[in-house]
Amino acid sequence: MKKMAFEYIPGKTLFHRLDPRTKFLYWLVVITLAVSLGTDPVYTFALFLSLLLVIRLSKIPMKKVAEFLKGITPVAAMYALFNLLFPPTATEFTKPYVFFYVIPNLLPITLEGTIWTLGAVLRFLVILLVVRTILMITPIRDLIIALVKLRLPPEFGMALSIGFAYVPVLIDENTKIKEAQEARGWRYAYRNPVKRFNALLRQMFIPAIFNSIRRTGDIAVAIESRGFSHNVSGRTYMRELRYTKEDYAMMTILIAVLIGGVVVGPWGFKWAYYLNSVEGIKKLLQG
Amino acid sequence: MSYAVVLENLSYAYSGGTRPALNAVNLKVEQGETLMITGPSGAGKTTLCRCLNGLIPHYFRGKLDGNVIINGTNTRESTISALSHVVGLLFQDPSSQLVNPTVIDEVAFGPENYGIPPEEIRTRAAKALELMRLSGYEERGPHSLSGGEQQACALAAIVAMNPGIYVLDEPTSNLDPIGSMMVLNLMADLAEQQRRTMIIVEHKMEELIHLVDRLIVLDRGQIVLEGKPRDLLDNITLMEKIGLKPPQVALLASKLRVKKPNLPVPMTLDEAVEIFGKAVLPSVRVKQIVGIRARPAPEKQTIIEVNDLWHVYPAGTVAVKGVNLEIHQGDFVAMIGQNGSGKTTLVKHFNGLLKPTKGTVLVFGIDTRTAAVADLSQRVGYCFQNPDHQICCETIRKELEFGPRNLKVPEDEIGKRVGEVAAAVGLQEILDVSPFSVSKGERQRIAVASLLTMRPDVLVVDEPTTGQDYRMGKEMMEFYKQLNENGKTIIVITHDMNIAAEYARRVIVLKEGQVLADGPTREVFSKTQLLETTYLKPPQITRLGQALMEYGMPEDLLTVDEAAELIEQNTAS
Repeated sequence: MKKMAFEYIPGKTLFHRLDPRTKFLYWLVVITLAVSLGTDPVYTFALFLSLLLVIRLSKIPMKKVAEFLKGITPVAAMYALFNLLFPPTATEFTKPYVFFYVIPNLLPITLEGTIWTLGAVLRFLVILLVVRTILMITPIRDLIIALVKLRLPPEFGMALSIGFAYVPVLIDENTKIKEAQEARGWRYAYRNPVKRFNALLRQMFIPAIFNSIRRTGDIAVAIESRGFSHNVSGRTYMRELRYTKEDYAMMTILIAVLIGGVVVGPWGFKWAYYLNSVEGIKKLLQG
Repeated sequence: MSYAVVLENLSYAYSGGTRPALNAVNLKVEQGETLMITGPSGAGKTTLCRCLNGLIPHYFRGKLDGNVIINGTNTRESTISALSHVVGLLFQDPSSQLVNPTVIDEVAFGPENYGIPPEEIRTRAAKALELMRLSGYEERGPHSLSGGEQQACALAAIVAMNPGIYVLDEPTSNLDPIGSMMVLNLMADLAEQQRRTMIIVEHKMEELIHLVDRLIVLDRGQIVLEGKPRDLLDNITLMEKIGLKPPQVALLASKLRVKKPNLPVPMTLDEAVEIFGKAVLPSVRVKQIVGIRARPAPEKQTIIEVNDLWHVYPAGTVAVKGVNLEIHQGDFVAMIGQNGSGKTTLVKHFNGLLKPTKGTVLVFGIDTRTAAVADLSQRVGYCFQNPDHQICCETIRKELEFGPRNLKVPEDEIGKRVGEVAAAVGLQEILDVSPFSVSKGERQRIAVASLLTMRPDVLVVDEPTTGQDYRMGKEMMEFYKQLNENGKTIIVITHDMNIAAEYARRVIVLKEGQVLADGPTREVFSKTQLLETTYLKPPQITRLGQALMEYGMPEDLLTVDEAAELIEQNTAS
C-alpha cells in the first residue's frame, strides 16, 4: 500500500499534547506569515527552519520529512522553473543582473529572479510542510472533532472521517481493478493519449464507480444501524477536547509572533533582506 | 413469557423485485434464546435481518405486510436509530461497516451517537475490545487489520452499544476455519454470560449447530424447517434437497442409516466418535481399504516453475519468502493457508501481475520478468475473488469478448469462443443482458467465462466459493473439475477445506510466506497437527477417521462418500 499523505506518528511531546484547535491557530499563523511577508529567501528560510524545529521537538524522524519532500519534488521543481523564467519582480528592477538568456533579449535568467525563486520555493514548501507536520502530530479524528467544535456540522465531520478511513480501501480497490483487467490482456499503456484516456475511462472507472455506489449504500446502512441519525446535535465524543495552560501559553506566543510579523512586514522588513542580498551578491559578482 | 422478537405473517417485496423476498413468515424468539437461521442464497435471510432493526421499512423501499415486534414495539412505529439501540446488526462484509479512522473510534462510534457520557464510552469500548481480543489495537486503522480482526472489530463496535438483541448476518463468510470458530464461540459466550438474544445467519452448520437452541431453515422466503438442531438433523434428506450442508458426521450417519435405521445422528465430532465407536465400528473392524485410494497425480510436463521466490511489497511487507515449487500440466491444485499467508501474492506471479523481488518464475519456459501480463494472460487465466473488480462492459457478450479482443483474436474466432464458453457456463440465454443487473453468482460465472474465452492453459481461481451457498459452490467446483478432465490445469485458492479435500489432487499449504506442506491431498490432510500450527484443520470426516484409527479407520479419509463406502464394504464382508 502507498505511503499515506496523512500518516499520524504517535507521541507524547508538547506538540502532540496541544489541543487541535491550537494547532489550527499555528497553521493559520504560519500560512499568514508565509503569504503576507513575501518571498524573501532569508525570511522564508527562517520560517522553514522553525518548522523543522517543531518537527524535531515532536520527535518525528527526519526520514519522514525527507520522504515527504521527495514526494513533492516534481511539483516543486515545476514551480521553481516557472518562477525562474517569469519572476514577477523582473520589472521592479531597473537593471537586473542577467546570468544568461534562454531566448536572446526576451527571456533572461537573472540574479533577482533566482533569489526570488529561492524564496518562493521555500514558501511553497513551508505551506505544504506545515499541513503535513500538523497531520503527523494529530490524529485525523481529533482534527475533525475540533472542526465540529468550531461549528462544522457533525454530518460533514462524519463525511470527512469516512473519507479518510476509506482512502486505503480505495487505493487497494483500484490496484485490484487494474490487475483484474490486466489479467484479461488489457494494456493500459497506450501511446496515444486519447486511446489511453478512453481505456482508462472504461476499464478502470466503470468498475470503480459501480463499486463506490454500492459501497456508499452499504456504508449508509451501516452507520444508520449504529444510530448515527439518532440525535446528531446531541452526540457525544469519547475524545474530549480541553484547553490546558500549555494551549493558552502557545496561543499567546503565536498571536505575538503573528502581530510582530505582520506589523513589521509592511514597514519595509518585507523587502529589506531581499534587496540587501541582491545588492550584496551583485557587488561580489562584479568584483 | 415476553418475546424479544415476534414476526407476524411477515411478507416483504423489494420495489422492482419479481417475487417476495419474505413470504408470510411467523416466528417468536424468546429473551436470551440463541437462534441459527440458515438457507440457500436468495432465501431471504438478509431481508429478515433488515426487518429486525427497521432498515425495512424505513430505509429500503418496498411492500411490507404483517408486523415485526421488537420488545413489544412495532417497527413501523419506531425508527432505525431507536431500534438499533436494542437490536445490534452485524453485516456480512466487515469492510463496508468500518467507517472510522481507528479501531477505538470505531468502537466508540455507536455509543457516541446515543449521547453516552465520554467516561462511560471509554469503559465500554475497553471492555468490548477486551472481549473480542483486540486490546492493543486501539490506534490501528480498521482497514489495515486482517479479515478476522476486521470482523472482530465490527463485532466489538456492536458489543459496545450493549444491545439486548444481536443479529449477525453471516459473520464468518470471509474467515479461515479457526477464525470462524473463534468468532462463533465468542458470540455463544456472549449469549450465555450476558443472557442476550442472539440471531445468527450462517451457512457453517458444523461450527455452529451445537451452540444454538433452535435452528430455522429459510427457503424462498418461507420457513421450511424449524426446531431443535438435534431433531432437525433427522431430516437430512430435506436439508440436502434445499441445498444446505449439514455437518459431515451427520451426513455419514444418515448414509449408514439406510442399513442401520436406528443409528443416532451426531451433531459434533465428539458425539460422532462416541456413536460410531460404540455402535458401528466394533462390529466392523476395518480390514481392507478398498477402492477409495485412487486419485492419480499427473506428473507430466512442468508448466510453471518457481525458484527461490521472494516478494517484498513497496511498504516493506515480505509476503513470500523463498518458495520453490513446480506446477504440472493437467493438475488440480488447492492452495490453502490462513488470511495473509501469501497465497494470493504467490499466484499473482504466475501471470506476471507481480514480479519476483528475488528468484525466478518460469511460465511455459518464459521468465515472467521479461514478459508483459497481457502476453502471459493467454497462458494463465487469473480469476479474482470479487467479479465486480473487472466487469466494465454494457452486455455480458461484450464482457466475454473483452479478453480475446485485447489479444487481437480474429472476429469470427471470438464469436465462436463466446458461443462455446457461454453454453458451458450456462450464460447463453442472457448474453445480451447487462452484467450489472444479474445476481452475484452469475457475475462470478461471467468473470470466469471472460477468462475462458482467452483459452488459457492454466486457470487460477481465487476463492471460487465465497459468498455462494453450498449448492452453487458445488456447481462451480464441478465445472472446474470438468475443465480439468478436459485437460486444463486448475489452481484454486480456498478457505474451504472440504472443497480442497473433495476436488484437489495436490494441496499446497502456505504459512507466513513459506510452503509448510506440499503433496497429494490425502497426505497433506492426514497431517492434522502440522495444519493446526497455521490455524487450519482437515475436514471433519478426516478428523473422524483419525479419532477412530483404533478400529482400523484410515487417517486420510477425504469425503463422506468414501467413509460410508469403506464402512459398508467392511460390514458386508
